[in-house]
Amino acid sequence: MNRLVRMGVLFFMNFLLAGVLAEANSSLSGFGVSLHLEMLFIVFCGLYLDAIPGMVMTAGLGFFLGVFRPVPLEDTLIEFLLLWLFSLAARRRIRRENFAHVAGVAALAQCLAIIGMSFAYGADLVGSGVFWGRVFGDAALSMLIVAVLAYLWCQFQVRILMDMGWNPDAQH
Amino acid sequence: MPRKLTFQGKAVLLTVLIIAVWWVAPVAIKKFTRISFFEFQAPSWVGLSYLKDVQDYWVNRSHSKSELIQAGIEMAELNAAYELRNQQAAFQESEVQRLEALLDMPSLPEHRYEVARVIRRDLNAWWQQIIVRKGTRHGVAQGQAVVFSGGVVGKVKEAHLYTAVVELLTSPGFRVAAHFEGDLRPIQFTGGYNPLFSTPHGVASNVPSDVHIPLREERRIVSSRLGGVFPDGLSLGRIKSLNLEPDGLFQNGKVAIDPRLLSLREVAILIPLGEDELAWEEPGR
Repeated sequence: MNRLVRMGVLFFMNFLLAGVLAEANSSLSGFGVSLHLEMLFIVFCGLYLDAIPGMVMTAGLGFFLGVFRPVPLEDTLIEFLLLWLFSLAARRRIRRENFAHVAGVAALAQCLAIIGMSFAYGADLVGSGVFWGRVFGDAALSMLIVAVLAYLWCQFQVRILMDMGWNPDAQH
Repeated sequence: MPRKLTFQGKAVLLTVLIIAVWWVAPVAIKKFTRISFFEFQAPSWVGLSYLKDVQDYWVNRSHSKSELIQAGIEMAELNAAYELRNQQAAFQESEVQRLEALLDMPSLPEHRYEVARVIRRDLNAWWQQIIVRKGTRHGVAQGQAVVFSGGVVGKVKEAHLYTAVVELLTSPGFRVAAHFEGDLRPIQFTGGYNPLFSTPHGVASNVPSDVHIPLREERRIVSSRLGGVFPDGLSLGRIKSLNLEPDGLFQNGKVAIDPRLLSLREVAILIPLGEDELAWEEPGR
């Protein structure tokens, strides 16, 4: 199976995950809480894939998920690529076989993304306690879920790729 | 060490390159990319919402006959009440037309209601929007008003072929002209306060200083047709108290918004009637 097909399968899996997460957010909307789980899509690209496939995959996912946001598409592209660079930089400093390491990197990057987006998109509300209460509440919940799921989602993707005859663990 | 630098340097270089390429790309290409990605995904969301409808159908099929009979009785009572109200509305409508003709006033804009299913909700601290299952094919266009049984929902922000994005009135930056029920002086409603695990609220500002709300009472604020988007009298929320603004000329207050807005399943889009549609609906006019 060639590389393009493998990437296509990975992309489709992430697309399905995006659907599930969007449904979860739709269901949670009635409770006044929302989840931001972008790092689930990016952490595998940063920790396992080579530079070019990782970047293409991250940019593609950024385009796919960014069209639903009421902000310019380049904002999402930049956010995703910066998060990907962050996980790429962490790749040499952590053990990706370790649950805590992967969870820590994903949760920290997610937290930075949420705070960055709050300053970028909440410029009119940065002085409001209600706004920051919501942001920190969402961030805490999102970080918790990202921390729990990041490693498991990465391992699931690794297993799928191994079933397709390619060992991503062999990548440096 | 050099290998590490090369790998990470290559990644940074690629990132800068792709951002630069996207940055200098013509607006037409950016717009085309955005629309293409949206329309490509839209069928999957629409399909998912139809699946949910099927699920609801089978859940409803599981109700017992006695429950259905009870629901039928309640529906009949509601129908009777609405029929009476329709008769009153028809009489009031003819009265409005008579007065318009008498005073030589331009008639109020009229709309038809396009009911649309909500297929996705994206409500966070930065933006609040929903995606509905009706688009330009159904006459939906950017800027149209969206309502539900509890009042105003928001307005159409983007209209695609089969779907539309609706910005909710709880979205930061959402501003609309409003007035108190029974008091036509205009005020401004601003959305954007969405606390954690709680219902959202907005802010009413530019309220004249002589408006007073008694303790333990609340007043409803409704949409005003001054903004040109919403018809008059649709509920925006309720306000319990007012505070004097620093200039001393106006007051402002917190507006409690209907909590059902966060879990909407169906909305109605107000589509302005064209001349031909008006003539079709009212041949004698």
